[in-house]
Amino acid sequence: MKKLLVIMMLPMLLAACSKEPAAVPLPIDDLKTLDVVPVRSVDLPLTSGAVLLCKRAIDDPTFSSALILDRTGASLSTMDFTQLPRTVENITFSADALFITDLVPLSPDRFILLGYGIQQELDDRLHLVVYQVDGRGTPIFPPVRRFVSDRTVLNRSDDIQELYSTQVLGALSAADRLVAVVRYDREEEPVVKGYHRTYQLLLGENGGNYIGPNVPLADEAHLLRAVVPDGEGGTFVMLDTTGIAINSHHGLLQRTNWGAGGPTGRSEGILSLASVVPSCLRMVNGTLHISGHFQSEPDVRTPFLSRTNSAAEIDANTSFPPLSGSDRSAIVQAIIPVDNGVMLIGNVFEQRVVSDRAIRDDRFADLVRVVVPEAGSPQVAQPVVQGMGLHALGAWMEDDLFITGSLHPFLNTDYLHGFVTRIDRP
Amino acid sequence: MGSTDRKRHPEFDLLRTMRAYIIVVFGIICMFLSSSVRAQDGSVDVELTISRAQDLYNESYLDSTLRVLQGLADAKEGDKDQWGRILFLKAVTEARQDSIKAMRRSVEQLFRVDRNYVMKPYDPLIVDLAVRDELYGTYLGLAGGRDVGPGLMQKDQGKWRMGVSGGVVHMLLDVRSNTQVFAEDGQNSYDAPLGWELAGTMEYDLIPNLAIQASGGYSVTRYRTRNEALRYEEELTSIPLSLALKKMFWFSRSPWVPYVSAGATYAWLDAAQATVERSGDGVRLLAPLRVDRAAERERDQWRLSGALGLSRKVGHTVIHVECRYDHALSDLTLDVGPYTDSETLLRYYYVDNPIRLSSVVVSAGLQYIIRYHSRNRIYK
Repeated sequence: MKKLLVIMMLPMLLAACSKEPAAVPLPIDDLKTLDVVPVRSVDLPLTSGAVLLCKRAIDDPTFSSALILDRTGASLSTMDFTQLPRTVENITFSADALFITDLVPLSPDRFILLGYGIQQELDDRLHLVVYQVDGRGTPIFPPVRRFVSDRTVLNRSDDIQELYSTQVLGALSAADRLVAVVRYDREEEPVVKGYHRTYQLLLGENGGNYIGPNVPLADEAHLLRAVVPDGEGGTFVMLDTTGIAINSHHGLLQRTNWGAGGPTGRSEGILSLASVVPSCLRMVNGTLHISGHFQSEPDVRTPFLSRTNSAAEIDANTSFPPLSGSDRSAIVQAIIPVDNGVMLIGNVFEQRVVSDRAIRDDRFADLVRVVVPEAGSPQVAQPVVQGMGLHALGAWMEDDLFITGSLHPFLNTDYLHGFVTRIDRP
Repeated sequence: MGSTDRKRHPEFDLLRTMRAYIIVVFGIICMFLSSSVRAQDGSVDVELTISRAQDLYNESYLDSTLRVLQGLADAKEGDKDQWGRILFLKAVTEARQDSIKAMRRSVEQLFRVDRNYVMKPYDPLIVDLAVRDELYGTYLGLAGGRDVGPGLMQKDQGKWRMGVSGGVVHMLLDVRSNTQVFAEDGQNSYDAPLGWELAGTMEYDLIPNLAIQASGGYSVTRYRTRNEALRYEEELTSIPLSLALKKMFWFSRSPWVPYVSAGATYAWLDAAQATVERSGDGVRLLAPLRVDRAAERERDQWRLSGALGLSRKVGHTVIHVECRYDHALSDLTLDVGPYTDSETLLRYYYVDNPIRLSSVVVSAGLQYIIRYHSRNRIYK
């Protein structure tokens, strides 16, 4: 009988000898992919969650819709920008001359859409347009516009997203006050010159008014990067500025204090990192955190984190969190406040030298996170998903960590899908 | 002529040698496994005592004959042939004494000593016997015959049986969520094509008609998931080992023996080979993916089993068909970390939903009776 049982157990014992190592589960609890082409993520500080600004197709130079994600990462609603009214204060813009470039959350169910319209039939006059809409893109008030410039031209930016370099970004300096910065190109024979211009609008049916001067950019390739509130009634504006090396730029940070009638004070400083791309700016405990990447060598991407309380000192406290070894390029795309500092969400690429196009077409980057404490050394970067080309765009912390971004589906670089993943709170 | 040629052909010689070798090896294994196989230990003393009993019988000293034979029976000596003669003589003597019950007990004992026992109606010991019909009728009633139909011994499926069985497996899927990675894919639907299993079985009667049943085998099953764009199929190979109690029922003179069994099964999941496909629409540049997901599965599968079956003895082999329900106690998927295989997840947008695989198995098999009960079961 014993021998018989031994014989019967033999297959199991043989199988047990070839036992495979236990699989290491990914540190994610949920993943959803979305049939959208997300390009930028806007935080929703009031409700948590995010809004994904999306193109219609990967090669489009403009946004076509916004997808609102709630605090759990579920899709709440979609705004279709083509359904917005094209007549703004007696000017009717054609469908291919009205573009939305930014979204500012006003309340849980109200949003400001910022963009521009071009009077193609009248000297290509550029107008700033502002909509107040609900979660489905239905206007709450009639849209307003401000004249910006004439003879404008649209050029695509030479970066990863290849959007039109003409864009409007905005921020609420106060609950009823919107600051909008327009970056545009103007044809001035025989060259095209870049400018930026700042506006303040009092929100409401009639709106207030401040219009700043046209400020020329040193190079038409320079881009407007971000406009964020400083939490004290002012705004930070991040722009490109002339760098030391040829074909390189630094970051220019301007802080503007605002009164009802316009600016009351201004300071600025330069983030002197070569070809810096400040992907995310966020106020954390009264300190502006700027993170992104710069090029330590041509096309060698190195992540950075700058923390400052004033624009003039932006260059004084810059660190380089170790998302990867020196043999791989890495970028940061999102900042999240955590208990003792901030968490950076970013990507690490397969190779050290990686061009903008290679980043856009990448299918194998690692999605990583790293905690950088206020004092002390950063922690070791932790992979979220390795080798699958999940590109972070934004993140938020609820009970768990949520990361949203984009990926090329089915290994096809001509397509882009969005994703939202939930990770146990680290 | 032809047969002579065949006998001389070296290939046939080889076949015969191999066949003989297999029979010998099988015989050795059976002897090794079965303690019921007795050594041919017939002795001269037993032979002499049988002769004495025969003499006493011939002289019609029936009581003395029975005492001598009973002494032999109590001593439990002698080989199978000697035992056969002892019991036969005992049965004849008892018949002559009109001890019909005792005669029947002895006749049944004959079958338990020699499963292939054949009683000849023209045996010199009984041919002139007045109770010959009673004696031979008892034999026929047990062994069965053309005129009397199946014998009572046909219900007796022995004490120890070994054999093989095979069946088809219909999986019952218990999917407890419908998580999707990509909403555009639509809802998942699950189904399972028929699988199969082969098993070796052993049954040992703890008491008559209540057996402990052990089996070990090899099982291949599959389940599939589909939605509008994706097809996922996973083939599971496992090695089930089960232990059960089997209760058999005898009904009247029917040779069919229905049974029920209940037990537990441990199955070692040996392999989980998945194939993932996305429909081609010019957008997707993915070839079908084959991936071994065994490491992402719960390898130790526990089940409770219950079965209904019907068996019948043919010769000394029991054939049976049964329907078994296996209720899974463990999930196939792991409790933590369903998002494991990043390529399956992020290239093919497939995520495991928690799934538990119970099954209904319809199987058939045969078992060779290694040992019969030594005590009578019909004429007690």
